[in-house]
Amino acid sequence: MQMDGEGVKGGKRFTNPFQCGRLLITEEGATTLYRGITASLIREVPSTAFDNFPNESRLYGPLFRGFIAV
Amino acid sequence: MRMGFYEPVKELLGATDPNNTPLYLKVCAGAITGAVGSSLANPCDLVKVRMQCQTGKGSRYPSTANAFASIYKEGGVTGLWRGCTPTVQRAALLTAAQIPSYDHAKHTLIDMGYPDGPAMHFCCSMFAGMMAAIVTSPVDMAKTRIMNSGVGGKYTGVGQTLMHVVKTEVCGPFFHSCLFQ
Repeated sequence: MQMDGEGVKGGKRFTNPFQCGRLLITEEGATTLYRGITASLIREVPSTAFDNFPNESRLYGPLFRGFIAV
Repeated sequence: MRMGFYEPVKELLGATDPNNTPLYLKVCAGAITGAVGSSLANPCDLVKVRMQCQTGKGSRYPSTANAFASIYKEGGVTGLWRGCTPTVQRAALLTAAQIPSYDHAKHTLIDMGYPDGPAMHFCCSMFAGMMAAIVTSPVDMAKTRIMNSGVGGKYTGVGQTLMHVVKTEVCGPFFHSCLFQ
């Protein structure tokens, strides 16, 4: 939706997120909703690991504590 | 990154007493972890945006690996970090909006006499999330547009992009994707 109005055809195609989702599914199929998922996974998997690891690892003692507090 | 290193960075900035941490230290710690985390993730974000914005037929990039490779071929390492400025700004704004709104909402509710428990934390978190989405929406849009325009494209900077959008499309598009943040 952020790119709406930038296309070659010009003009706005999307009015709200739900209409946008429906239009994408009818035009391109449901798999289109997962376009770009590989890049998102490469980003989110280590990111989430780093979100939770440092706080949890504080429970494991001074070894990790020192590593994180560098 | 953003959440995981928040506490350690806060301590590094000198906030050792969790009960008496000044608000500006929390905002600074959040902005630092947000900026570092999001800038590290920028290439993945760029590939995601590029792949999502190509229409079904006549695709620019057939696969994720291909997208990384051809962006690198076009613009080198700096090409992979295209749009890094709005990404970092977005992350900093996100924290700067989220933490004070959560903090303020919680204290306001406590002052109003509501019990300090999970239900209240949930409500305050939702309020903080809403504020974050509203505040980051314009710069998030600039990020998407800049990432999609290649090197030497129509958009050069955040300010220029926002001005262009305001001039040509009025205020509508800024908050278009606000709902899905």
